[in-house]
Amino acid sequence: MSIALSLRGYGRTFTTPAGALRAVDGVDLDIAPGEFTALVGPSGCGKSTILRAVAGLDTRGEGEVCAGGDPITGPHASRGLVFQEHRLFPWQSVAKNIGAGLRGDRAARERRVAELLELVGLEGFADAYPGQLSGGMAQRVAIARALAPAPDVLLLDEPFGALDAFTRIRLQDALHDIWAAHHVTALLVTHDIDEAVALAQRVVVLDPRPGRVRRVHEIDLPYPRDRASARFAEHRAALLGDFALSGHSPPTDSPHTDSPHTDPSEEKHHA
Amino acid sequence: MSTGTRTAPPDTHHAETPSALEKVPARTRRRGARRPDPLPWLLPLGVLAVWQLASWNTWMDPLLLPSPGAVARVLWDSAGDGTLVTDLSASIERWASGFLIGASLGLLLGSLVGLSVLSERLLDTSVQMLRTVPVSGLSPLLIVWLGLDEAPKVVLVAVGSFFPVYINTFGGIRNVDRKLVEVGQVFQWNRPTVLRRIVLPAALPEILNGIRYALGVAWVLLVLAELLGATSGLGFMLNQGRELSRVDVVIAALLVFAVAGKAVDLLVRAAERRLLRWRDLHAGA
Ligand SMILES: Nc1ncnc2c1ncn2[C@@H]1O[C@H](COP(=O)(O)OP(=O)(O)OP(=O)(O)O)[C@@H](O)[C@H]1O
Ligand SMILES: [Mg+2]
Repeated sequence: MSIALSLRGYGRTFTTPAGALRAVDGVDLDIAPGEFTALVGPSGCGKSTILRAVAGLDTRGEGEVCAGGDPITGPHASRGLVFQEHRLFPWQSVAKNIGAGLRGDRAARERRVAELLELVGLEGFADAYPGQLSGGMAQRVAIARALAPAPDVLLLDEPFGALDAFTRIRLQDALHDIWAAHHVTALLVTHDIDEAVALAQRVVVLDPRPGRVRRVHEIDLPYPRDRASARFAEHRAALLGDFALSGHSPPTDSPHTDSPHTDPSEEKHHA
Repeated sequence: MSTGTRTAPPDTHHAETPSALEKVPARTRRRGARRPDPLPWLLPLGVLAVWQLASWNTWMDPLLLPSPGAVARVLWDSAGDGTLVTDLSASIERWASGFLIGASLGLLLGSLVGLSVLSERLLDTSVQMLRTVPVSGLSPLLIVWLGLDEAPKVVLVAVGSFFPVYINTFGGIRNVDRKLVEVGQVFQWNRPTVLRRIVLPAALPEILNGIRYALGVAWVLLVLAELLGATSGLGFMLNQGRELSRVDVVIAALLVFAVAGKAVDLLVRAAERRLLRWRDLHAGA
């Protein structure tokens, strides 16, 4: 079996004013092509750190982080990333934002953008600006932007964390459809256990400080998954149990308020 | 992943799709917001009315406060004999060339210092020190060095325009959200592309603010420079009015100043509206 993403003994230490901080330690993980994996764990356990390493935004960790067998040395068009905040360019229209990562001739780019607008159900909003969109719409544009270069791997860092419960479930369904239709390998970081159980085939539970893999749950429920079913509840309970064991209050599926650490203070300003 | 299109997702995913927003295209909404507003004219017209009343009733010595009609006559006459056009264009020329030089340097140096920590360490302290020197205080020095020609006037205007543009360009670039820059990294954009597609547009609102402020400063310094000695220009017109004790000429010159200043401001605002359309929409949304 080929492997889309693999981490071998991945670890990351940050130097902070307060001293060295071991954020992630000895993480081993293999993800098969087309697999949907969720990464869950309490705040600060290194989920974003791992995702940034896979995205190629942070290459200073130890161990091996590979995509398709090759070590990751930086970002690549084959891996799309959706951030927790939509991070759209406010000065560009929705269409321009979606096309931001596309290269090649104009007509092809426009065709691709039109496809994606349809895919995320925003056909009428090509010329709108991000400031005119609701949070859910903006996040859909962000997903479309990440999907535009047709990546093999889609990385998502709590993409729906800031949304209300109804919008979140709707976007989760949309994400599932995209994954199922395009056979992308998906790695989703989330605080939300229900989200993980609804979408993922495997859920990786991390322990905090330093971030380590506590357990990997297989979710063998068929899609589409019925969130009200007993088996769904069983998986949810099992995952919640893991959190109780790790001595942390289980995360709820309400939108959390603590902001994740996305600012690599280590790196100098881009200038 | 295939690039093929897929059938539209089921309706449940669409609850937020084309709605009110789509029915009210952005253009119409903007045009609606630009309907001319009579209110800003109320105060100037009121002042004019009081002024007219004052001169009818000779509340003040007509030599100190000439009637609006007298001022209008000065404007009419100077427009007729071409001196108004000469003076106005002389002033605008100095102002524009001084501003262009100063603002370009401000943009250049501000970008340099904003983009490179090394040049910040090298330059910023010196620039900030110079900034505390009142620019108008430079004029004696400039006259000694450069004489009474065009040069000292243009330089004074340039120096005054430099600082606001420098400071805002520097600040604008430094305030660019690192998170947006990271998006460019994900797309593997090189540095010039990141600058062009992220840093510049993100810093633009602040840079334009600096430019607008600089235009105002430049205008003020221009009069000052012309008052110190000129043979043409609006400042020269002012000087003449003072020397001949012609208050009507002085007021006429001031009026031309005000109108020209306002015209430039309108121009800049229009440019701003065009360049920063996305912000307009944001605020109006
Ligand atoms: N650039 C950095 N410099 C210093 N410390 C960092 C940096 N990035 C992350 N950390 C620290 O590493 C730890 C893991 O951070 P990370 O952002 O990966 O957590 P997370 O699991 O994504 O948390 P959350 O769920 O709140 O987003 C935290 O203690 C954080 O403070
Ligand atoms: Mg995080």
